[in-house]
Amino acid sequence: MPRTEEMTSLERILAAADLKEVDRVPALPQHNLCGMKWAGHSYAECYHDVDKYVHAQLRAWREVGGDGVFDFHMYNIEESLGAQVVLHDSLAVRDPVIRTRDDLNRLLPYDGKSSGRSPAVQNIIRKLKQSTNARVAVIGFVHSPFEVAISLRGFRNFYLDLVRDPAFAKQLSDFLVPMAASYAEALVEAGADIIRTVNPSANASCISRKHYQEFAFPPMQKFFARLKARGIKILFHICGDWRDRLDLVCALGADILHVDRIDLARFKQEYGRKVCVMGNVRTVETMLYGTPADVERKALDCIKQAAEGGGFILSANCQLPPDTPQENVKAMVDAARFFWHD
Amino acid sequence: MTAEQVRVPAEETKSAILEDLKRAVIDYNEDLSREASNRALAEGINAYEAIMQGLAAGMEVVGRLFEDQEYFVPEVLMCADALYAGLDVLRPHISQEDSQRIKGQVVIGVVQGDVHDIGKNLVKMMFEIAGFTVHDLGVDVPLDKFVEEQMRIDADILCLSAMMTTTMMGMKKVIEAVKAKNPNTRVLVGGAPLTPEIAAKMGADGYSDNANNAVLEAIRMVSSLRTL
Repeated sequence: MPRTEEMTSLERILAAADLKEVDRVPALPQHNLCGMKWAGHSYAECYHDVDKYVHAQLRAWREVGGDGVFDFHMYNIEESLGAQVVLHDSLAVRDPVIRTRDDLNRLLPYDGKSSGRSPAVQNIIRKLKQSTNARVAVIGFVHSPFEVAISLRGFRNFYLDLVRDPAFAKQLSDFLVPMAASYAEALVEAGADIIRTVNPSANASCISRKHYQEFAFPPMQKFFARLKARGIKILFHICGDWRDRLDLVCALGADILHVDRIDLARFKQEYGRKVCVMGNVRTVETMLYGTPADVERKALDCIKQAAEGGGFILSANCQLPPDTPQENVKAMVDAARFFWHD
Repeated sequence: MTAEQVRVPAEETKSAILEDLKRAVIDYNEDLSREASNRALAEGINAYEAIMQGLAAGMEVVGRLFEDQEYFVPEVLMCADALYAGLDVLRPHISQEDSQRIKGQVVIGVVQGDVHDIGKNLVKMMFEIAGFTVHDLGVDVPLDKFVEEQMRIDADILCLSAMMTTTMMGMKKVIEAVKAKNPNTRVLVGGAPLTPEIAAKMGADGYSDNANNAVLEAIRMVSSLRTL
C-alpha cells in the first residue's frame, strides 16, 4: 500500500526544493507531451486550443498521478520578437531573426504579460491551478536568455559569435534577460509555483567550460537573480553532458536541478546541500522502450541513490516523448508513492 | 599536356604542404588553408590527394579533438570553414578520373519539427569530400519527403538526424516507410538522443555519433550493397 500522505503535492515539491523533510518521495514526470497523445489530441491542436491542452494535462495527472502539472512550452519571447515557429509535434524556430547587429534595434517591443501567446499560457496556468485546487505544483516554462539568443540568431551564427564577435554575443543574451524575467513573472502572477528553464545549447557537447563561464553563465545568473529577488522557485533542466561544469551550474542559484545521465549518489554527496536534485530514469531506454517493471527497478535505483534526507525529486532525465506508454509513467509515480524507508 | 601535370613535386615539399593543409583545418586558419591549397596546385600536387591527405586528414583530427572535449561546436564550425576555404580552391582542379570515384548517392536531412542542423552539415561535408553525391533536404523535413526523395534519386544511403527526444520518433516512421518501398536502402541515423541500441530498435542499419564515423559507416554500407 502507498504511504500515508501528510502533505499536498505542492507542499511536497516546495519542501523538496527547500531541502526540507518530505512525507514521501516526490515524483514529477514531465508528461505534458505524452499526455496530449494519451488524450487523443495532437500537439498542434493543443497549441491552438488552450482547453484541449488543459484537458490533456489534467487527464494525464489524474491517470498517472505525479506531484506537478506543466504548462504548454511556448517559445513566447522568440515568437513575440518576430520569429516564425515550426509547429509539428514540437516547436522550433526555423530561421534566424537577428542576422546583423542592427537587427537588434529592429525587434518588436516585448512585454512578458501581454506579448504573443503569453495570455494563452497564463490562461493555461490559471486553469491548471483552479482544477487542481492549488494542491499540485504548477510549472511554467520560460526559455533561458542564452537559448532565446541562439534561436533568434541561428545556431551556427551564435556559436561563431562566441569567437568572432564576443561582445555582440554577450550584448544579445543580456538584452534578453529582462524579457525572460518579465515573462516568468507573468506566469507566476497567473499561478505558476515554479519556473522551469533549460540551456541545452551550452552543455559540454556544445561549448567549452571557458565559453560557458564567459557567455552562458552570466546571463543565466542574472535571470535567476531577478526571479529569486521576487521569491520565484526555479527548476533548471541540464540536458546532456554537464559533468565538467556542475560546480558552476550549482552556483547559478536554481532551487531544483533536473539532471541528465549523471551519477546521482555522487551528485547528492557533492552538491546535495546546495540544490535539490531531480531525475534520473532514462527517458528513451527505460521510459519509452522499457516495461513498467524496468521503470520500477530504475526508479527504485534512483530513490535509493538520492532520496535519503530529502532534496530529491524522482523524474526521467528529460521530457517524456509523445509515444511514452502511460503504464510506464504510472510505474514511475507508483515507485515514489509506494516506497518506504526501512 | 600542361606544365602542371608533368611536374612532380619533391616529396618533402609535398608532405610540408599536406601538413599545412591539415594544420590549417585543425587550427581553423582559413588564410593558411587557401594559401596552402594554392601552393599545392602550383607544386603540381594532385587536388584530390590534397583534399584527402590534407584537409580531410585535418578534419579527422578535429573529430577526435571534439570527442575528447578539447574542441566544441564553435571550434568545429571554424575548422569546417577553414576546410571549405581550401576546398573551394582545390575542387575545380579535381581530375575527371578522381571525380568519377563517386562512392554513392546520399539523401540527408533533419526530421520534421527539428531545426538543429550543425551535425547534419558536418556529416554532409564529410560525405562530399569523400566523393559521395549528397542531396541535402535541409531541416524540418516532412517525413514523406525523405521517402519520396530516396525513391526519386534511388539513393544508396538515407541519413536522418534528430536532436530531440520529441522529434526522434519521426525517424522510425521514415525508416519503416522507406524500407517498405525499398528494402535495400541503408539508413544511417545520428543525433543527441540516440545510442546504437536505440538506432537498432528504430530499424536503422547504422548509427554514428560523429561525422567521420558516419562516412566510414556509409562506405561500409555501400560496399555491402554493391556485393548484394
